[in-house]
Amino acid sequence: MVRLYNVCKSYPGNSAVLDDISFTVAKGEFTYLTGPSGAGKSTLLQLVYAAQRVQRGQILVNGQNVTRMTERRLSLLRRSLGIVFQDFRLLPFRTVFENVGLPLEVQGVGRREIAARVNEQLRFVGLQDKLQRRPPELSGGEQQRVAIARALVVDPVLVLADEPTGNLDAATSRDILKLFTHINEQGVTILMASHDRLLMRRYARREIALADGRVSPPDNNLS
Amino acid sequence: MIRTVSYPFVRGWRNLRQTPVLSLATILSIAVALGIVALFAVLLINGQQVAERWRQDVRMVAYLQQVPDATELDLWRTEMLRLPGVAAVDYTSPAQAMNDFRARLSRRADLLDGLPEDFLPASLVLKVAADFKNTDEIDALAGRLRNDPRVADLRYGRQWLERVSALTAVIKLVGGTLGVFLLCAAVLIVANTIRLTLYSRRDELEIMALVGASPYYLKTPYLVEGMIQGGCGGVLALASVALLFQTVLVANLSILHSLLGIGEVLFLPWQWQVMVMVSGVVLGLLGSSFALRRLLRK
Ligand SMILES: Nc1ncnc2c1ncn2[C@@H]1O[C@H](COP(=O)(O)OP(=O)(O)O)[C@@H](O)[C@H]1O
Ligand SMILES: [Mg+2]
Repeated sequence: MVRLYNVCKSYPGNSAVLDDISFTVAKGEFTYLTGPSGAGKSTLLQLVYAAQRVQRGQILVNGQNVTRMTERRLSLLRRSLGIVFQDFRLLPFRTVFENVGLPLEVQGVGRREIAARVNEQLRFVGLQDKLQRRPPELSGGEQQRVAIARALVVDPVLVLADEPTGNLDAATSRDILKLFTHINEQGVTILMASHDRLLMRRYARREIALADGRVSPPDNNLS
Repeated sequence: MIRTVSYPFVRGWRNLRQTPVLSLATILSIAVALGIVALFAVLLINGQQVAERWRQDVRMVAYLQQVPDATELDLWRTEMLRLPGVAAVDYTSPAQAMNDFRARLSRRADLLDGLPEDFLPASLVLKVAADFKNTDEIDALAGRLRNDPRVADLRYGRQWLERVSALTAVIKLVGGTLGVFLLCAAVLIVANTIRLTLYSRRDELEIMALVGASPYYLKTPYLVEGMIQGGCGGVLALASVALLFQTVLVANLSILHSLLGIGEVLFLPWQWQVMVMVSGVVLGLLGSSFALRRLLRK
């Protein structure tokens, strides 16, 4: 589902954030992307959904090479991805309902279908009573759940989640993990950046560990 | 499907309403640019009308030394008709001239009451042939007539023709140059407005792109916004020029026109009016596509 070949990435004025990274995440796999803060987890995910461009190497997502794709083709590919951003990326002036419905709205899905799917998704993350609120009125944890709902509302084939439990207490984190496990059991591939050791120990999965711009062991292939 | 088509319009309109001052300023600058061009076009049309009218109806009036009798008149008439470029010759007797003058004075005709009937000279009005319209040929003809001993004075509107031609040329040059400058400025102003709107919405645009909005979906509202601004600017330009035309131009130009015996002062024909509005829309579209060229190309 996700294949990286010799990917190199550095920001202007920085040494290489990612240096010759190669790995594969198979279809249906649930994989953690770990590493200390600043290791390049977010950068790597951004490369996968092509918000950043690689300097070198190739990235295949669902068989398509995102490093050489027009904006138009890219937009079509992104419709099959569920992305949870580390900083949520919610629209502050739109309601929770509108935020979660945004990916459907930009695809031209009809109003009624949007309403049905958004409501279902918000129930899924336990926010059905907050649909008319705006993100700034919500707690960090609630915003995170809105971001998750927005990622899942498109029925993605691949979820790219950047520390989706970073703002949640232990109990809610477990709920989110269960939720991810649940959709993973339905065949959705998940690549999740995290540094929550406790959680990852409890829900042990294959880990891809980043350190000093490289994949370091243990890449214990669990799945 | 209906949503996909109407969406850019809804969004474009919403964008406009969210930045009313900026949008209004943009509309005004387009209106000024197009309005000035349209104003020059009105002047040009009327100037050309004067020139054209004159060209189609060049007359020379030869005032005669003495009143000819009937046989003399017939002789002179055929003689002049034989001159190259003369299409028709009409005789105006002193009495007729007096009558015409009286008619022109209308209410003040009593001024002429004490005057003798042959106070005004007899004249021959020569109509110049339609294929004989360049100034050199006309000058040659005028020279021959002037040298004719029977002709006391010769009048024709040569200077007028030249002045009007020169004037229309100046209007074309000034209007054209100014127009190109102003239209370019208008495009840049639209581009800038759209760029500002894009800048204030860059987060939203980026998020929408990340959740799968196509470049078409992201861009069209701004293209529509530019087109709406341009269209409004075009309509406003046309309305202002029409107003200016009604209040100032008609009164002033009609003095000139009645002096020259031309009927009406003209406004832009409808095709030109449509063109002004279409130009507005095109300007807006150009400006916004200019601004959008760099969007999403980080
Ligand atoms: N947009 C950016 N411009 C410049 N440097 C960046 C940018 N994003 C991240 N970095 C740098 O790249 C490195 C990796 O960042 P990041 O991918 O966010 O790591 P992580 O998500 O693992 O904490 C950090 O040193 C960070 O300062
Ligand atoms: Mg990060």
